Amino acid sequence: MYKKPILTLVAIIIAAGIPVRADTEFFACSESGSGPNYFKVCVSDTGNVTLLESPKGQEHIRVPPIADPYVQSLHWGLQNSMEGFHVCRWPEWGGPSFAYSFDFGSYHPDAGQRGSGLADLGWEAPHRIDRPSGAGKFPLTVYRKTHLCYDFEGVWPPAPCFELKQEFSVDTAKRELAITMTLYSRVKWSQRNVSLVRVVDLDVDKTDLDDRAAFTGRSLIQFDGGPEACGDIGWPPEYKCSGGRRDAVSLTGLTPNYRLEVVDYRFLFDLEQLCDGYDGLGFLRTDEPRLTALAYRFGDLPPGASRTVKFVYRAY
Amino acid sequence: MLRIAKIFIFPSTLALLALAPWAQQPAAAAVEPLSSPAYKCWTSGSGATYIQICISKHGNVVLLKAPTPTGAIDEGYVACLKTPAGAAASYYDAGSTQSGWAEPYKVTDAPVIYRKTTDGKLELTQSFSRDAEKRDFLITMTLYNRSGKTLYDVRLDRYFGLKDDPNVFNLSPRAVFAWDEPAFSKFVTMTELTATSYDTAVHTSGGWIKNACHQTTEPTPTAPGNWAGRISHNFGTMAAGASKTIKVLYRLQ
Repeated sequence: MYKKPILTLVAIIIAAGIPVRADTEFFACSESGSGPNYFKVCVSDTGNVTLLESPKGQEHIRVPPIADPYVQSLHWGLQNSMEGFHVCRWPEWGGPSFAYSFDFGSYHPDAGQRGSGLADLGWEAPHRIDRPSGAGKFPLTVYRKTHLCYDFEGVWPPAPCFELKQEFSVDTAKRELAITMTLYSRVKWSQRNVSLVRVVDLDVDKTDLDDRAAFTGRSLIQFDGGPEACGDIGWPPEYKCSGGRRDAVSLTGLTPNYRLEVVDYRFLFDLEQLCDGYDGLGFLRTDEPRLTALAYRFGDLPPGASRTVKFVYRAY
Repeated sequence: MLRIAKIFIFPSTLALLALAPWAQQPAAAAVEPLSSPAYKCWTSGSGATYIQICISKHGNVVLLKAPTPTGAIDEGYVACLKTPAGAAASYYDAGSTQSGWAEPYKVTDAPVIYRKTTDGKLELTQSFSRDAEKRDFLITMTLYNRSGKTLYDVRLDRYFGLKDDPNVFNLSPRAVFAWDEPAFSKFVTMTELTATSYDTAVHTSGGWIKNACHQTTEPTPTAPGNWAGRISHNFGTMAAGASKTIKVLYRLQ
């Protein structure tokens, strides 16, 4: 007898756009080991990696923005504390330009970009979160939907273009964070040229400008810099390198079924290039801030289809 | 005359040698290095996802292929110690050459490989497991002091060298990295997972001292060429009967 009013109330709340939950930066964390084997990683309730620390005291993602207006302008102020995902497709009216839905994190308090439309765009708040081992612990599964899609005829009611399920698990023994991402097409027409991209701004050992990166067809590995990479391009002293054995972090695509591209940006951050392909190959010795990404290219996604891929972060 | 002297001197020399304390142990049969053939291989995938890893019966990695082979690989281990009297000794097996290790006395299907040094001071067990999805290969090594006495400055190094392609080597405090440049078709890493006292190093192929532990590193990253990398574990003092376990992980990325 009370069912109808309750359902109506729920419908009103949903229609009013009341957020399911506020962003939580450290929604699940894992901390293990000591000394050289220390490994800590955190993920937000939005499915962004917000902290990656290994060994103790050496952070690689949650790093404050470089206090240099010139560097910030090159990166639209987003170059630090970034980790997230980007889904591309040709819009309903056709290509070759892409429509985007992305969430790059930017959770660091100094970044100040969250909710600005520069760091995240096109995703609803999570509508479901699973934590079978309890609050604050891995494994963690986050479900999100994109904003609504419309087909050519404007058929009503519209549906989200995509739903994304992200499963996070930690292998403390190997110092790894694995992310299994399943992208579901939620519309009744075929979506064209779909890509699922994992994006990260690695600042190994809290610095970016001295880092170097190497790439293979399925991995990017970024090292903190050595003396050869430093000292001759006029960056401030705090960005000089100290040499020796330096920490490293890698991001690897583990799924063989789909075309995988490693994308590297020096200075410029280009949403379009994340979608249509730009291979950054080689061992980059230059001292430039960079953003890196692994992009799975699915091609066209039939109605209701899904694609699952797996990524892994590793600390060395 | 000379011939007669040899006949008389030789048996008497042998008799004297037999009285020496270190001669009381049975003479060890010659042990051949086993860079080939492979004793056990793990294979999975096809095309770009193909991966094959092979080991010898001595526990050397003799093939890394993902999907193209790394080229000729020398891979293995060296253990070093000092006796209470201060005498230093080393025992190594680098695949293509080896010295100081007896043939494994037991090899299980898993496989776990059990070996002792020819002088009986050390025993080494090696076990292996592969994760096909992550393209990694875990080697767990346990070193036992079987000498009956305390041993000092005990070390156990794991190392590998690549010879055919020009490879760049680099180091982190916890890992050795190698990739073929400029092709960038394969990336091999060797990572220490559990120990707390260890070091990483890179050597030129010609300057790689396989029967020594804790060899000094060359500057890194290297230029493309033939190099070898190692992780050197420092076990320090080991009481009689004590053991130490370390885990080394190879990844093909």
